[in-house]
Amino acid sequence: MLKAEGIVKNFGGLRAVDDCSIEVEKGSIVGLIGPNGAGKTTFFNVITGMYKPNAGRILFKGEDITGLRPDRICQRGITRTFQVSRELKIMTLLENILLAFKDQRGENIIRGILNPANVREQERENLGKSVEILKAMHLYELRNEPVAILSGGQRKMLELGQASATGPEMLLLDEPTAGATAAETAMLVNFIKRMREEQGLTFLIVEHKMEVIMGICDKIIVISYGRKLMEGSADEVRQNEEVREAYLGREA
Amino acid sequence: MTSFMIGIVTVVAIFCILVLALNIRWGYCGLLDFGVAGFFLIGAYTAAILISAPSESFLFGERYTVGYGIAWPLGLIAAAVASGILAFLIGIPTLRLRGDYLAIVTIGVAEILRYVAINEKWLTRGVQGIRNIKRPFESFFPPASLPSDIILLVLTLAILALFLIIANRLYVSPFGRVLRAMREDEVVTSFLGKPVINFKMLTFILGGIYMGVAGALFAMYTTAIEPYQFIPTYTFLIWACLIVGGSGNNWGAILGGALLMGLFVQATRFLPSVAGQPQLIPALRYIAVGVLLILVLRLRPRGLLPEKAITKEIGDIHA
Repeated sequence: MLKAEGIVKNFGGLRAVDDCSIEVEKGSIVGLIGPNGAGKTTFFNVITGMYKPNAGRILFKGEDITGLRPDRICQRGITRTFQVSRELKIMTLLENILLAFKDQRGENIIRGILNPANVREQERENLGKSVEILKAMHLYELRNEPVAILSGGQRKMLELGQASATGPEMLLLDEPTAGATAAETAMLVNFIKRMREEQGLTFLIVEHKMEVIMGICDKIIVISYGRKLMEGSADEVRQNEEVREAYLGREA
Repeated sequence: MTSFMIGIVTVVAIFCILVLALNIRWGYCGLLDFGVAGFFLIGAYTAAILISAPSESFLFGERYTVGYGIAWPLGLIAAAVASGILAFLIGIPTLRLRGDYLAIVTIGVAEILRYVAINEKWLTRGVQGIRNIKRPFESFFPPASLPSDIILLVLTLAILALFLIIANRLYVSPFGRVLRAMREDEVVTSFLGKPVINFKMLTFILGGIYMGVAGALFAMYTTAIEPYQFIPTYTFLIWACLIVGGSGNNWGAILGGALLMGLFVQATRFLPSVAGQPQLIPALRYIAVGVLLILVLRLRPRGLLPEKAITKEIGDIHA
């Protein structure tokens, strides 16, 4: 599904991602872990078009998407969420979801002004879908409230709902449960699992909560100092000596 | 007196079009535009040069020909097109950059255009300005007559109404939703698959078209334009109107325009001048605008008519 080959990303003299290659199979949930500053978020930013890599290429469904603009990458089927929620705080929950749908006829300026029947029809369909998403997220009651009133966990829920509204084939989630309570984390994990089972979506997830990563991932990739340390199942990662060193330091 | 009142309402309505245009750019989309006067100038000069009858004049021993005698509706359209093209040209290099760069470039371009109008005398007659600009149906109603004023007032109000309807429909449309999202966070919006540059460009051009038409109406209203009428002060007055009225709300934009331009700038012309202090009232005018701006920001920071959240329920949209 997604293949990144030999990605290098430098910031001045600092090499944030150093010759990193990963592969994510269709329908799988892959976890990306590593100590703080290992380059996980930078790697996400390279894949989703925020940064252009200094070397390497990214293939999505066999097509080269290296260096495409973020909106093009989203339109091809990869949607991402952010480590610190960046949803739109003044807009209402409903508008946040409505915004995300692809190929909206009313986003053409002329059709937006004239508002013909086919624009209204699509808008009504999207409204129905948005309500479904909000209900599934237990956020329906707050649909017409500004996002600013939500708690950290609720924002993560909304962000996931917004990402799913873009109709993606693959989701890149940057710490999807950061700031969520235990109950909210369980809900989020459940939601991710359901999206995979019901819609066959593929996931690449950066997460610090090990119980989340170990619980849902088919494969875990560990990176440290911008390099891939290893990849394997949860058990393999748990038992790997190098991973322990990277996280805990070497034994004296 | 009647004619005078009609004139004031007309010019206030013209300024309201500018405030509406700024609201689309800044209020909807967050584009920091400090070049309102420049787009207004392009519209005014394009219309003035095209509409006025060909006339020859001698300035400093040189002969100048200005005016093409084209029908006024075409002049109005040409003003819209010229100002829209200006927006497009400014937009190409700046809309990719951070917002403050747009502010710097727009204020710079507006001033450059004013100096072009001052210096390119063959086209604009320089500081002498263009005079005897034709008004609609001038052959039936001479420019200084009451019917002529009424025609221009009706035309201006009709265009203002049309522009208001378009702006309101755009605000609630999916297009407007993308603009409001970009205003909050451009990065998120682009990661949701929206080509933000295209949306910005179209918004910038639409604002330019509005401002160009306002300029053309202004040229027909005053029947004489000169570069001094397009100083940056007007840009900031329009900003003050929008902030006082309520950024993001079209009715707020109109209210702000009517209040500041009408009550403070135009109506104070009726005040008797203070003996021996002819500059006192004009100076007080700007102080009054400043005081009003501070009061509004202190007491109603989102303007007199703040932007309202859009609430939706299933069944609201009837296909």
